[in-house]
Amino acid sequence: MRRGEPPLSDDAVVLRGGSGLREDQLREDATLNYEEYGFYGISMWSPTPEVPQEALLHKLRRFPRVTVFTAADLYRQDLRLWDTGQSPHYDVVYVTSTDLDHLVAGLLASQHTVIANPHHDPEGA
Amino acid sequence: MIVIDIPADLNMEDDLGRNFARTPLGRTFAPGDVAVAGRPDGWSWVLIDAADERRVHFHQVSANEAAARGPLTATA
Repeated sequence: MRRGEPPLSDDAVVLRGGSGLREDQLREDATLNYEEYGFYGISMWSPTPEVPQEALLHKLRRFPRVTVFTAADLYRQDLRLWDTGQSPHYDVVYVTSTDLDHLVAGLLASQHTVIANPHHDPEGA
Repeated sequence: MIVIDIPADLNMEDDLGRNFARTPLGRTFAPGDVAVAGRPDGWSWVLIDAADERRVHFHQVSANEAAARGPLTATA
């Protein structure tokens, strides 16, 4: 279910826990999303005033590394950010949300960086 | 070395804010069970909220909270 928020601006930061993009995992994750919700999507997060980036990195503390995009990086690959689930969760989808191949190819082609998560804590509270 | 019971993308959440994944073949989970979910590049102790033969829904907990519910050993 979408939250009905305005689209993220081009300079919005978009985060995904994990140390990079693997085609097999993206396909698996998008397919599970399709089975559950009827569209191919990959879960990501974008900071908000209520959940700023540091808080989001704490939420993603099980990941020692986090992959960072800007919304523009994704838009350039004809990807869109759907405001799904609980804020600040998003699903990255291809413009036609039932196209798995273009979604995965677009993500793999998107410019991104991988950062160490300063809040990494695999077993803490 | 951590043993992952439930391969999962810990970025993925349902509308209730719970993580979810396919129920691994040959495994059965019940609400209240403790498990390890995720992937080598991001895993967590988790507490099972709901499960059936297709899907398991869970939330992430600390090792201390998981240990409070029973021994933290790999199970078949």
